[in-house]
Amino acid sequence: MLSKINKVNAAKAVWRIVVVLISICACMLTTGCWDAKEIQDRNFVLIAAIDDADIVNKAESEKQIAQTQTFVQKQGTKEYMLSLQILKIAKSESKGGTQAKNTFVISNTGKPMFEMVRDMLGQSSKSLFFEHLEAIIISEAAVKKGGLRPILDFFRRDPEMRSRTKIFITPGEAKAIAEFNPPTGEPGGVYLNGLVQNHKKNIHVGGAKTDVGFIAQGMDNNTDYAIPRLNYIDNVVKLGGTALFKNDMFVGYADEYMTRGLKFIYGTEKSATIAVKCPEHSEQEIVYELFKHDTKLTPHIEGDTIYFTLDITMQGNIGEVNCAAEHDTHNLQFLHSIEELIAQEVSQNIQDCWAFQQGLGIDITNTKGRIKAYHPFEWKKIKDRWEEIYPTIPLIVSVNVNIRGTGEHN
Amino acid sequence: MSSWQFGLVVTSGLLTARLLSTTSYIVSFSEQFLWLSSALAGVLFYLAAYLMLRLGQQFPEETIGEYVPRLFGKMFGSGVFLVFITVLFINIINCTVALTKLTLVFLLDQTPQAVLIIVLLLAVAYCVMQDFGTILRVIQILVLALPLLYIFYSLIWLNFETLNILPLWPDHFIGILQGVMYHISYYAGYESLLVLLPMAKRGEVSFARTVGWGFLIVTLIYVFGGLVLVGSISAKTIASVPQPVVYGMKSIELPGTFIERLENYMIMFFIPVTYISMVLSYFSLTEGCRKYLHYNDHRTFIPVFLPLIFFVSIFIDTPERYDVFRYFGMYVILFFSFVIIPILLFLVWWKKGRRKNAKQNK
Repeated sequence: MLSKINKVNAAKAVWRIVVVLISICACMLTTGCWDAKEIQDRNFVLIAAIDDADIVNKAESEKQIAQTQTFVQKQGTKEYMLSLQILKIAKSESKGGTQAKNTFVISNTGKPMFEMVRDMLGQSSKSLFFEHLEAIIISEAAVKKGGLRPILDFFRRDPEMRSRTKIFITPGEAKAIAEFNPPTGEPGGVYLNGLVQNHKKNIHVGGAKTDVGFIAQGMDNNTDYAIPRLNYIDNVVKLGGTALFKNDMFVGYADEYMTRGLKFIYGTEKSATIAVKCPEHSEQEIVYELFKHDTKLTPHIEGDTIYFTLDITMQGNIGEVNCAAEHDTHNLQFLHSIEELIAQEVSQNIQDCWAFQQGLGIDITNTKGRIKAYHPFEWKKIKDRWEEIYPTIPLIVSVNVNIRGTGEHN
Repeated sequence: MSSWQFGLVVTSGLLTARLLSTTSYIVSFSEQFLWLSSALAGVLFYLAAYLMLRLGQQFPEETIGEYVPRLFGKMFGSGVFLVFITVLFINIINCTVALTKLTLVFLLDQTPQAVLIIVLLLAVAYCVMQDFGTILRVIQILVLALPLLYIFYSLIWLNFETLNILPLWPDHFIGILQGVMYHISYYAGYESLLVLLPMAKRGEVSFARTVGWGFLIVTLIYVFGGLVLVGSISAKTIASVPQPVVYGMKSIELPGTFIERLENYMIMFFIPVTYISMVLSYFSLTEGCRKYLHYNDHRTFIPVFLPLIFFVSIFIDTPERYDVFRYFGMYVILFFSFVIIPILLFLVWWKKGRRKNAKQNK
């Protein structure tokens, strides 16, 4: 009897030990902190700048530096130079009144981006962290080499990347922009991201739907797309105009005027300005500040005729009248004449932009997608001849401008 | 459990993390008509659930393992029961793989998958070890994650573009129908009702109605979810990314708020939602075995299946094996729901009819 009780107690004790051991193991296995990394143990990448390696490393000294930065590779080529702008977490001391840089740049030369990134750990004491990547700057020369797809693939594929990372195309050197120290004291990546966020107020910047996520969608859907152009010279950074892509290949640039036309078609600006000649003083201008813009681009197919209509309604204020003589801006007749002038200006801009697109054979406004969506059966009939049909499609523009206010002063 | 609780329990296990990777496959067939495919699949799989309810109602006090040998004979009966067990087993493995992969890619990328699978299975086993009343409470609490998940998911509307879902009239029905088949990952889990049915009280409201309401709600979630997903990231992009729902969430930015990395919150809500399905299937698996083998307690069978689930989940970690398993799972579940169950139901009705005729002849 006693031995039976002892056996039962022993079994209970063993069972308790097993439960305790399982609990300890479970606690060790389920804790979420075992692979945690502190912020200061990461190198936050803010800008990825991609250049054509042959153009950047022209001088002998640059070639030697590039030689040190790169690695021996059996596969791939030394086509691109990837430069990463990294945030300095520790605050640098300023020297002689000049502002200390809060970022630094490391570079590498090669072709597979991922391989270059991993090799850059040879220049970085901490792991490279891309979740806060603010901007990808690609030089025109690099993009002309093999198109955008091979360059962007790493940024589309890696789960660490964000869809809303901004992309820029620069006619010059991308690395120089990564090294640029903004006057505001912000890190360069944050500064560039801020510049493009202003696109709603700056009608010369094509910043809507131009980030990694939307460009990736454009690539998946085989549509043409535009990316903001970033100019840099002598420590001056300027965003304006767009770089145009067809089948992921660089086609050319749209200047500020054409970019404005594109934005009128899309209706992506929220507080843009439109300047027109004063009806009474042709040397002077009147500026209209747009604050509400509705646009509708509709395809029509009637028999063999295909055409598009664009209906635009704009509402805004008089933002500036820079004539020497005073105008009565409360005069309705005067206001109507301004509205008419603005409508003509917008309409002309759109027609120029439409013709410009057709001339280049690119379709940023996705007319192909619209015909496919609204006339799927007709699309099937014409899709094989689309390239020859597209340049002949006319656009009928109707612009309705309303002036709702004349500002704080007559 | 009441009739409404039964409806909730059965349909709460439908929406799981399994759908995340399957959406790409469905859209590669049905393109922008994901919503139509989901709606048709909802009707089809409710039909399957309805047939199971009709079958179960013929044997109100018994689970499938008890009446199938009587209908089919001992040998074929065990075969049918084995297929039923396999269906539940596949559901648990699919949930395990989907959830651990999701967590590995987006949350715990340094953790070995085996560790995550062990932790998840231990958590499931712990819940299944409780009595059914406790499991029911757990499900009723965890199902609250579903509306929260949908609220977060609804933020994808911010990127919605009508052009992506047009044209609305379909022109390739075969693709849409192919997509319906793959929806098994959207709707699997209702099979557990064949074990749960005897536990439910028959009330004024029929089970067909309560389960039907559950299916309707889940189908509406899928239809609107499909519309908004295609509208925000386009059908071609959905077909090009492995986890389109997470990809869609990654594209959301709420300027002016402190909340970012919204996909992480959504993934967190997928954990309890998927857990419900796993618990339910695992409970049905062990309870079904208990009834079939006439044991007193379902807990006996809990440790039996754990190693098998673990090893299969690890084994199918390569794309080729996972694809084979995916197709195997899909065909087994479809075979069970649309071949075996109708045959069983036909047999029951036929035998009943014969008995009735015999009585009349007497």
